[in-house]
Amino acid sequence: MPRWQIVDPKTINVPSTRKIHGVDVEAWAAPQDVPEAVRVSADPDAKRVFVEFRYMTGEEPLVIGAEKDGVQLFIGQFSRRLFRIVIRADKSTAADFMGTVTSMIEELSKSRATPPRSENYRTTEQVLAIKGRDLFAELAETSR
Amino acid sequence: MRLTWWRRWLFRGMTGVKVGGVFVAGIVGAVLRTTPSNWSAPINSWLQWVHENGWWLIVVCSLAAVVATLINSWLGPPWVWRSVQKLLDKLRDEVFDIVDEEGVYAQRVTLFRRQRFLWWIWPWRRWFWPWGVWRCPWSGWLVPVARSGHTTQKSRAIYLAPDDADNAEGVAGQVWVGNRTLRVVDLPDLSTESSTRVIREYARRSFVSEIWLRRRIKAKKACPRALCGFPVEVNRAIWGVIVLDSRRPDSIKLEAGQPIHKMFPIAIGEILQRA
Repeated sequence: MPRWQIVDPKTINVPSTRKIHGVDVEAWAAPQDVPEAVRVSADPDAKRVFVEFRYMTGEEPLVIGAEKDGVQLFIGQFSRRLFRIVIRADKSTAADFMGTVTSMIEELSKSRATPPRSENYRTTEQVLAIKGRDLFAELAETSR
Repeated sequence: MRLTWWRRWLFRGMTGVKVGGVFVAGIVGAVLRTTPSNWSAPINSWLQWVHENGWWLIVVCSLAAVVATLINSWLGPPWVWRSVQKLLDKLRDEVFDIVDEEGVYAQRVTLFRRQRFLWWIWPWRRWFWPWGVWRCPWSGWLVPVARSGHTTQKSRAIYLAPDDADNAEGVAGQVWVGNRTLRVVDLPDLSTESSTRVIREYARRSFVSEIWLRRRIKAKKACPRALCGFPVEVNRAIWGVIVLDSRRPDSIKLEAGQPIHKMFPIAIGEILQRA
């Protein structure tokens, strides 16, 4: 199993100015919504690639939050945080699904579920944007 | 639940009732298994009395123990609130530049709990109805339960945190609705001489009603010039909100990724599980 790669919250969770009811406020994700580590692994027999996020609040039972074109997003049953992405592909082609993954996370953040986790989905998207390419390249390397 | 002297004493009293109730019920149960005639006077007459009244003694003692347990679980153990208070003080010391004595009470950290039901609200929000127009006790409220320092502990700043999220009040309400960290800085400096335009600007930027704000100014209560809030979770659900307020326009040093900001919500959430 590959090692967890620590995420730097200062680069992932950057405060930004948002408009709430016409008022400019500085906003960023709550600390418990920022993944502290990420890892990418593969099951070559089942042709599946897993992207997993770890949080300070620990693990919890997972449910499918979204499913499309061979990609499944697993969210926490209670917190609704994004914990795992399962891509039905082999190690070398998993990176091609990043566009689908990103659009699915964006759709998930628009859902009106309770509790709202749009900031969590935004930070996981950021993690993938910053570290995703390297993680998938590293995974593809291990297959050679 | 603010840790006041009467809550502390009530918790101790209820603990006594609980222990006493179980103990007496146990003794009565043991006495019921004895034969009074086997004992000499005056013990046999006491045992006889217990035999005649034992059934209701056991019922009353057991009920008292159950009620005391329920009251104590509602109050929460005093150590929880002492720990919360210490954590709030620590957070205040870390995120504010407290350079003089004024800083201790001009820069505060308040823990609000989201309550679905609030049976009473003071002062009344409208003269004819305590909870305000189109609002009721079960509208959803953010109630202050603990605050750093030892002054301004009797806060009545209760904010609406309703199901219809558009009407959430204050920075606390907005944090609760969006479940994210928010910061508002450079709010206008308010006083009794402030113009209507300035008061309206302050109310708009801090998400409070103008009426509420005018009442506060009239009561000569200080209005913070910078506010910051973040959600607190207990058992993976949003429990409440922490709000930092300062009378200085830009003195809140809370940053994403700062160790205290990272660890604080987790630490307080773990402690509040026992409340």
